[in-house]
Amino acid sequence: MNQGSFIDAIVWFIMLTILFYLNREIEIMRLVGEIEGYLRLYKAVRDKALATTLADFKSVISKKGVEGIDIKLVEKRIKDLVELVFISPTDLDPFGIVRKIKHLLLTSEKTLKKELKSFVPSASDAEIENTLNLLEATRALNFIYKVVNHIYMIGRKFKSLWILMQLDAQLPFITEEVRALEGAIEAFSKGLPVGDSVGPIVAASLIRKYCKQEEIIEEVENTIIAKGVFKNRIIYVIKAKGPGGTVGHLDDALEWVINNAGRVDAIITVDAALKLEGEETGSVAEGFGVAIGGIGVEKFNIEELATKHNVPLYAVLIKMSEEEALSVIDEKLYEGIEKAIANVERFIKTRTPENGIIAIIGVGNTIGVAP
Amino acid sequence: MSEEVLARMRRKFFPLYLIGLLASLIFLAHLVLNYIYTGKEQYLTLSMLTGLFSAYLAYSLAKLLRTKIPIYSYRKVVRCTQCGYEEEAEAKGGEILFENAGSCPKCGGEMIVQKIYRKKQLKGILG
Ligand SMILES: [Zn+2]
Repeated sequence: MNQGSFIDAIVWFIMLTILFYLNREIEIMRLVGEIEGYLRLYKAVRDKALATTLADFKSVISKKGVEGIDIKLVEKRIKDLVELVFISPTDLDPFGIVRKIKHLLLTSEKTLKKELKSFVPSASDAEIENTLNLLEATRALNFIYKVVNHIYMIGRKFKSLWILMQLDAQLPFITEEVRALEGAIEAFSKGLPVGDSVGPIVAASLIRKYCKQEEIIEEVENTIIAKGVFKNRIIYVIKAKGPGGTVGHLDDALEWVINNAGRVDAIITVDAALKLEGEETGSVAEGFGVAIGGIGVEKFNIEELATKHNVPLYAVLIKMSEEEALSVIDEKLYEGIEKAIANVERFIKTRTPENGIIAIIGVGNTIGVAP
Repeated sequence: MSEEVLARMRRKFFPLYLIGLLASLIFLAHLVLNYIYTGKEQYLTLSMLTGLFSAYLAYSLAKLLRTKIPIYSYRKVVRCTQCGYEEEAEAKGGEILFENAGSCPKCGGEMIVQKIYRKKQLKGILG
């Protein structure tokens, strides 16, 4: 065998191995650089959110007078509340879990409201609700930053290309969510309606069209029920009570309507829905079932009520992206609102009996929307 | 907004790309001239590599310059419930949809806030 070509082959082999190794190292460096860029972004957004939340609450305090308020203590408490955790009930034995979740949500909401109110006793409910919404968005941003940072640090510590690649692949979706929460911070600090408010806006429009001011009932906390007449049918429009940032207790309101009206012939829910990439913002889809997002407590309860009383469930969905749902409402969504109102009216005209009783539920956060 | 943070981060690379591109172009011209005058093959090989590198830098620079960041402003539309007269203005925050917004300058009827929305405008990264 020719000596020269054998050494050449060995050298080639070593160089090839080194090249493969270097390629891997460069790939890790590229991933680390990219992830670090995103992490810096998430951190900047979280810090800004925390600053906005603090500034917002301080402005509420200064509006109502600072006497007797320890600003330092308030600041510390707000920072603690950002780290707050909700421990969901065990689903080892899922029977009755919805009631348990509802109990947890109700009591924790009440406690948080009470605590914030104790700092500024003269603050209005809307101001407290907006601060709570800001806190919630800040908490979510803080959690996202911490988790991404955790996975990144583990990946770096063990020099694992796979962990870093998996994290890198998730980043576009996480960034979408961070943008959405960032938009929410902006919207809630200004108190302007968000994309998710389309449900309450449809409800408020129907109330303005068909219900009288004196027929608005406030039997359920944070929720209004308006009675009106449309095409010889009695309609009950249910929405969260504006203009604070709240979603209300729609299931309790529906139960009240059924108990007081004796029966309901149809339940129509109107809500924002996530669009797929490529779908038009503000396009409207109709469906059957209960259109409600969130943990599912209200959805469960409304479905229970409908099944118990044998009531058909109709839904109207207004499509938008996650960012649009949480940011100040886009102009295109008003076209969706008009279409949704027309859909609700058509459902009532064609699908319900004359002299029937219909419950219409505008689902979503009613920030910046009256009544 | 987060886009502005990203833009600020990317903007830092702009002079780096520009200087890199200029340097590699000068080097490329030098190599090409060398090849023309001496006719040596290795100048051609090197100039091809440098050409590829400059093309990559130019592409990155073009991508950077094409990036647009959205700037948001908030608007409100108030409408007269009597005659339908509309006015649009900036929403400063705290506006409430369907709330009373004064009286109509045309007929004196009740004006309400009919729309509040976010307006998006795109801005270049260096602007
Ligand atoms: Zn007028």
